[in-house]
Amino acid sequence: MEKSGEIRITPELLDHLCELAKLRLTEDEKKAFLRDLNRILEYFSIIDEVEVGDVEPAFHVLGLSNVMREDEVSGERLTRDEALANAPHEEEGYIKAPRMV
Amino acid sequence: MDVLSLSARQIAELVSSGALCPTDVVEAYLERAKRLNPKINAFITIAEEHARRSAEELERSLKKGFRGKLAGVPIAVKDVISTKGIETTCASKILKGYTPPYDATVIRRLKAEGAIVIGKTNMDEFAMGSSTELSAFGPTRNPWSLDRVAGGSSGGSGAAVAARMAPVALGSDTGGSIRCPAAFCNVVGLKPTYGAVSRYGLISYACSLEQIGPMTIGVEDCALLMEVISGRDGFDSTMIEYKFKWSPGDVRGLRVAVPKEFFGEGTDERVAERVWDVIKLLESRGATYEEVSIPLARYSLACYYIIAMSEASSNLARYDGVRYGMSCDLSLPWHEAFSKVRGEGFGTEVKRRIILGCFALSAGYYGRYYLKALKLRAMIRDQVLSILKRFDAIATPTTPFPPFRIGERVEDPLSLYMADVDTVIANLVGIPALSVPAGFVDGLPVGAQFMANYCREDLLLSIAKCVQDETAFHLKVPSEVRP
Amino acid sequence: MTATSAPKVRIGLECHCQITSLKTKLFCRCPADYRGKPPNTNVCPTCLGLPGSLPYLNRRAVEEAIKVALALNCKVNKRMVFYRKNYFYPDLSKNFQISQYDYPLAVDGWVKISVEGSEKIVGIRRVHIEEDPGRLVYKGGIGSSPYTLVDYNRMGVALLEVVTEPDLESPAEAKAFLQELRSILEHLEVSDGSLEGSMRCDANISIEGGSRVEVKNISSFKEVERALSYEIIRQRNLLRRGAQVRRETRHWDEVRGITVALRAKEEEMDYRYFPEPDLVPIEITEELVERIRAQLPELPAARRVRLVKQYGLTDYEARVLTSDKQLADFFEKLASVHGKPKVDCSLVINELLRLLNEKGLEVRDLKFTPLEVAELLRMVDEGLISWKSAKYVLRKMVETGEHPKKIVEAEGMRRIADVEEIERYVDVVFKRCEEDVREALKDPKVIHRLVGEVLKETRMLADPKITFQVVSRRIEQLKLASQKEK
Repeated sequence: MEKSGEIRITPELLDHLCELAKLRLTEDEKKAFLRDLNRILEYFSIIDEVEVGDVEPAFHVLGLSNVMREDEVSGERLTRDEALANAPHEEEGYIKAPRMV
Repeated sequence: MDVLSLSARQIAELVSSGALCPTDVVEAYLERAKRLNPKINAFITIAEEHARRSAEELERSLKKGFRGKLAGVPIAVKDVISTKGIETTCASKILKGYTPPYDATVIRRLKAEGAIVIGKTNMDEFAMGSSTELSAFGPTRNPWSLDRVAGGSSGGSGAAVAARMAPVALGSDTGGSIRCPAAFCNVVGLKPTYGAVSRYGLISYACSLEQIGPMTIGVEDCALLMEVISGRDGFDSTMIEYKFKWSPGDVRGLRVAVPKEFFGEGTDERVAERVWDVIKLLESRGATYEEVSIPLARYSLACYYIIAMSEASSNLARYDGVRYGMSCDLSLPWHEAFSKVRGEGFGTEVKRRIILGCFALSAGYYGRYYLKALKLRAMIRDQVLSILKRFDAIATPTTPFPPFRIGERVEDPLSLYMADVDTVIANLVGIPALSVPAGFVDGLPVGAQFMANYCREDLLLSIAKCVQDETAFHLKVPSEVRP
Repeated sequence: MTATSAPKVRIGLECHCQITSLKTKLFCRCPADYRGKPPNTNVCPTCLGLPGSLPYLNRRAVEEAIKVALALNCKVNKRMVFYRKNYFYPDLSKNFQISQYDYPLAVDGWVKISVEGSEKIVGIRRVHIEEDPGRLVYKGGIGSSPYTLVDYNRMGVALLEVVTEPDLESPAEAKAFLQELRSILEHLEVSDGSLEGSMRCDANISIEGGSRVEVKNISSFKEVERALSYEIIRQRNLLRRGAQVRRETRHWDEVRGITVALRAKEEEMDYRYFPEPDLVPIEITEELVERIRAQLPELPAARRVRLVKQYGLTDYEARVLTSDKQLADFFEKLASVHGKPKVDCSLVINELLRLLNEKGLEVRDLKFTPLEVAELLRMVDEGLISWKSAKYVLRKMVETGEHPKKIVEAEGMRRIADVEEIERYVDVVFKRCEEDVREALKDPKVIHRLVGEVLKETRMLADPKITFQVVSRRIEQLKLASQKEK
């Protein structure tokens, strides 16, 4: 779905994006962001000047393909201590996360 | 012999021959770093214990016959690169305390040649910035003028080398983050060809744009580092088959393109003059130049930021306080816990970019922003490559202005983004690009940028060598720093 | 069920099947075999999603996936691209899953299934490759636990996602499809369906007049029939009452046997798919596809045809055998050694399969091979034991793994066919049943009763035909003797 015309980030859209990105902003931040983000978007709209048509998007600039490895186990594994060393909360070898329900 | 004025190559030779002891080298640089850091804030972490232990180990290995291209060379590493056992923060509160259990490939390779990591350098948080003011640990001050920025996002690495707190450093470059601080700090900075240096261990900001690269005083050290760190490693799928080699050559017959779009409005005239001096210098040494036009260059900044922010919004999703870093609040339901820790742990610019990146990728906007930017990228690439069919190198200023004052641009994101306007194009195309000291404006360093075709770092180094041989810019030491 | 009565049901399945034949995970070199390992002991920087880590594609995963795509009659795409599916969840170490979106591995396939004798084609919309998330554990149950425990051992294991067209029209058809899918994957030796969690499924169901409902969290193929049956009834009831079926995602609660609406408002999740920048596109050549096609093993459908032809089995028998590759393999080995396919098949699908189901075992759990079963059947052929005894011995073999000959010896089960031995039992019985003997002299029908007594006396081990002959002869002898007396 392509949108045309001026795009603005509204307070509702900002809230939605914060939810998508899991970012909690203070009220002051929200005010400032609405201003700054829209200014930046306005700058981005410069790309509207260019007709891109059917150009192949450059997913990889150098056009590499088929990079694969053999199915062999090797020694990069971490010990459990290494895996958990940075975890703020752990229990019996599991990493603790907040409740999901 | 003043250890602090030796090049990396000289240190390695002297250490290998036994004329210099690794511990002496390390102690000299540690002392310098510790003394100057409060003023400059180049380092987030000075890894004293680790450095001393490494020096001792190296001494033992040398006795057993070990030889390395970088034996005993202290290296300052941008804090965006994983170093096993040394805290790695990306200058962010959200990663404070994170100690990687593994080394980045580049670190492993440097260590294998006997190099010694002496510290992790300051940067803009998650490499998002052009001045190293956006760090959770305070700005880095330019050794050439302490009230000015060191450039970003690898400002700490640039300042560390400029102030001789380390003979060489590693930075990372997503949109100019090696070249800008190199220019501002009067050092050489190379962004290699995309895919030439492994990104395994480089904490991601924008995967399809970034590369790790060397920041050094002299060109030979730049080549030496590049030799050690480059080449496929079996961990980074985006790497090309490329064996870097360089032997100093002259610039006779070199054809240089000078795109007018990079010298127009917005470029400080004095900066332009310094760069033209360098171009004329090359001409006097046998190169030729011609003015060209890259019409699509005017869209490169917007194109770059759309792509970078989109990738960043995804790359930074993993920071949720569960597996490492700042802890999330387990007493809250999960989505609140994540939002809270990310809201508090990330700085403002990082949050801005994540939100814009989410926006550019979101349903309804993907086609207009992200996908379009990728198509535009292809067009810009093709236009630049067509220039490089007729020319060996492209010459531009590294940045449109000399180092600005701390605080001058930081409140206005767009104004900060402008610092990248000359550098992002190389990241978009994936070609190698280098900044070499090109003189001073009001005592502030200025850099000249050269770009070449894929895997032609050798041309860039030869150009830089010519400039260094003919000028003495790189040999100046900032007065702030002289003992 | 006529076309005018119950409204039409449409079911589409999204099946997730682990590629269990791989040694390593999809994007890192950790072992793929995570079962039974203590939590977070099977991880590396890449699957743990540590900052700076990068994925590197397992070549064999692609080859195994192509096998499956071909076996499902799909068109393998020339170019395959991995995409990031972005969403936050603690079982994802990066808060995005590397999956596929545009440019999947393969599209437009089909599978033929058979339900109650009639065949049907089920369309396969697409097959793609993605990584498995880690596992979440709740201490004390999902409702009451104050936090979630996460184990990343499984994070990054290779998954194949097989998406069907909504061509299935009943839980029974869904079950038949999944059975065939599992059998195909096992015949390819790409995925072992008996491993816990190796095959999971989400379902999309709609009933004419209602919206489409997605049912998630169906932990195994076996659960699918239950979950679908419940959901169809739930939707039918709503429609019957004139209520609307809401378009939503529901969660299958295995314990309570119901689907539950997910509490948080489930708007269309915006996954912000974009091509994974840390991986490069995979160009799949026709050469590679043809090489793999040429090396495909015999698939269930072809095997069924061959079993019928080669062994004279019925379609039904062939279908039961091929529903489980191990079972079919067992039968063929047995038939090759024993050489009586109809009998062998009967034993395998009527006796052995029943025992396996009863005890919740897989064929590979058996402590004996087809060779021992062949020996058992030869004993029946030689008349040493009865068929009934053989069934008993088989049960004992399943339970203890003991050799059939030993079991027969130990339990004294050898069929008695020696005439002299039978004569001795007849003596015993005749002495005990004098009344019956006298009756038998007059009424030949009573001989059967006497035969029955002898058989009982020998615990059914006496050969009934010989026993009948012996008893009849004795009665004749007695008749003659008594006549002489007269």
